[in-house]
Amino acid sequence: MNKVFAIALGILAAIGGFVDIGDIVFNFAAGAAFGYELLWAVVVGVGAIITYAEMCGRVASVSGRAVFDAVRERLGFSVGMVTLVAAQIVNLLMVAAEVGGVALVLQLLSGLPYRALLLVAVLGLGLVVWFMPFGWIERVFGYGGLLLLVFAVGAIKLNPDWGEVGSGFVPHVAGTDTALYFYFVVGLIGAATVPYEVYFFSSGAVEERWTPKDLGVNRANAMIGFSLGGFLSFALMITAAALYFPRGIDPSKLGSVGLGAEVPLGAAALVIALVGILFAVGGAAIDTVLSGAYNVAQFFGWEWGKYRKPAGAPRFTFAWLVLVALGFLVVLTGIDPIMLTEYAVIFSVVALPTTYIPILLVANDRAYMGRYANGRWANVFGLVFLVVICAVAVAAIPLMVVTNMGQG
Amino acid sequence: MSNPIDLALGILDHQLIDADDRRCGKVDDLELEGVSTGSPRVTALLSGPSTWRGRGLVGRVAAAVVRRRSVRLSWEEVEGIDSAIRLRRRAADYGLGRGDDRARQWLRCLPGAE
Amino acid sequence: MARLLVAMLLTCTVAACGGTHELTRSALDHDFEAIQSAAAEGALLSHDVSRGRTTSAFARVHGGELAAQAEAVSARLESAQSSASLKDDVALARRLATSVARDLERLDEASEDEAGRIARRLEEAAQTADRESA
Repeated sequence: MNKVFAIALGILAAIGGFVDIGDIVFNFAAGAAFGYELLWAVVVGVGAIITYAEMCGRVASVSGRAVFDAVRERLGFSVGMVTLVAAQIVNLLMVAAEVGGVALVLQLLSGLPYRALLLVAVLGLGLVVWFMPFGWIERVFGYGGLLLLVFAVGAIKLNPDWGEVGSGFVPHVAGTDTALYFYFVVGLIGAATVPYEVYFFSSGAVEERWTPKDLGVNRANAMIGFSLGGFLSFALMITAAALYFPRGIDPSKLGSVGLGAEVPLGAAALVIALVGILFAVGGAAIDTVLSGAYNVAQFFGWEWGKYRKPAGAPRFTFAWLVLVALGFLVVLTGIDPIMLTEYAVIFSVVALPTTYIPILLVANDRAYMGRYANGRWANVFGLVFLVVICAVAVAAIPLMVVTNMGQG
Repeated sequence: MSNPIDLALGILDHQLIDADDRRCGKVDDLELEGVSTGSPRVTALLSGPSTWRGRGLVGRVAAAVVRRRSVRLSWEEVEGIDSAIRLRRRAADYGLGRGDDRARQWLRCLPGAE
Repeated sequence: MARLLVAMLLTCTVAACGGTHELTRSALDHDFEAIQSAAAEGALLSHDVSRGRTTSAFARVHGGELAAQAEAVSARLESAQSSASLKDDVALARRLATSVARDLERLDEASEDEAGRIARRLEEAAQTADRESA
């Protein structure tokens, strides 16, 4: 019974922790631009992240090694270093976007000035990562993110055409503005598979000291947790599709997302939604910052992990402190966090293959994994989604240019 | 392991772990003997920024930026190999993990650091 | 032939650097769409203000963001050069953008009744902008 309880808690944390500012921005914008037509793209993205998160959780549980160990081992020093630099640039953009997002939400809740709240956000981030134990972080921010379920309630209240919703799950090509449509396909898949998630998931398995005994928990977290997390993405897209698409509204602010909960359900729902976004984006900021530090430490072989305490893994600690500071500087320039989010997701898509190919290679390595290496199904899904990932990676920059960053 | 390709995949770029179970660097290069006679053996592991010079263009740039010495670990120091290379003694005995030692000084005084 | 190409290239470069951007119909349509979006979203927000279904902080901050969006369109249109055929539509767009921005700025201090009136005005502005961009 205790075991079931532990699994359930882990799943809840995964659901709430699934959504970050990239998912919020792209799912909402996609719903407003194309109605229900892009729901299938979210399914593809969720399928990819479930497959690969399960794989890296398994690799970490069995070998004690996380994704970036595999990147360096499989791709070598030079290619690995290029991957590291690219990953860190994307991490930096995402941290800045998420810190900005937290400040925006705090502003919508309190009315206090944005710049002052940026300082609050960054200090909060630093203090939480320094002092809060890993397990607490996952639980607090994961459960807090569950407040986003208010969008599911709101979506139902908006009375969408469920027939149209259903047909949105069938992959198809939209009739109008094909380039913009595929830009969103790339963005939605990219937001669901953004690399820091797998870096973080695999390092987290080591942080929580998972062993082969925990493989069932790993699989449950990945499959059930992320599927239901995807459900939150659906709720966001359906809300925007039902409320903004018919009115020709282009939601370019985080406030527009909050309004999506307020219109069907009122002021209390607005506050719940904003607090949910706060936990989801704040949690994502923490995950991204730690991911950046995990990557550097794992590439160079330094000691790493929150379980070591700051002085037990000094260079790792400095790595995330520097990332927080640089993120703060980026967002202090006044750049719009929403725009920054779009750039971060699209650029991360380009580097996706360098993250996912090593995972697939190492998960198949029997010297590493013993009898826990990939079975037939893991490889089938792994290959299928790898093809998808490579396709979006190639298409990302051209589509970004042709559609002028989704402005049409 | 006599096949150099197996060596590369099995040891190179893998994690070094000391007797206290602490991570202390990566295998950045290998010292081989007997390559010309057709039966190569690993005589030592090399770890440290200066060895990056032999790891391609990116490695040379990185070695020029981070000018620190490397450590030579003779093959006898290897206790075991699984997904990582386990060493017989502690990192300090080899001169490994010095970067962490230096960095630790700055953090020690802060609350909650240990 | 080569001289003609160079002359064309130079003309294009000078025109591009000249700073006189001619507003095209499609760019104006884009501006009408932006006005329509801000007005329609503003109408939703104003409706909620009129029925007490929002918080004052949110109405102020988000209303202000939407006002800034409309204001940005107005400023863009003010500095744009347009052909004679478009001049009337440009003037209409500027009037719409400015009035949408002003209404949204007023939302913060508005009573529930006034917010209801603002909502209706914004809906009308959205419809006008929608017609013009079609």
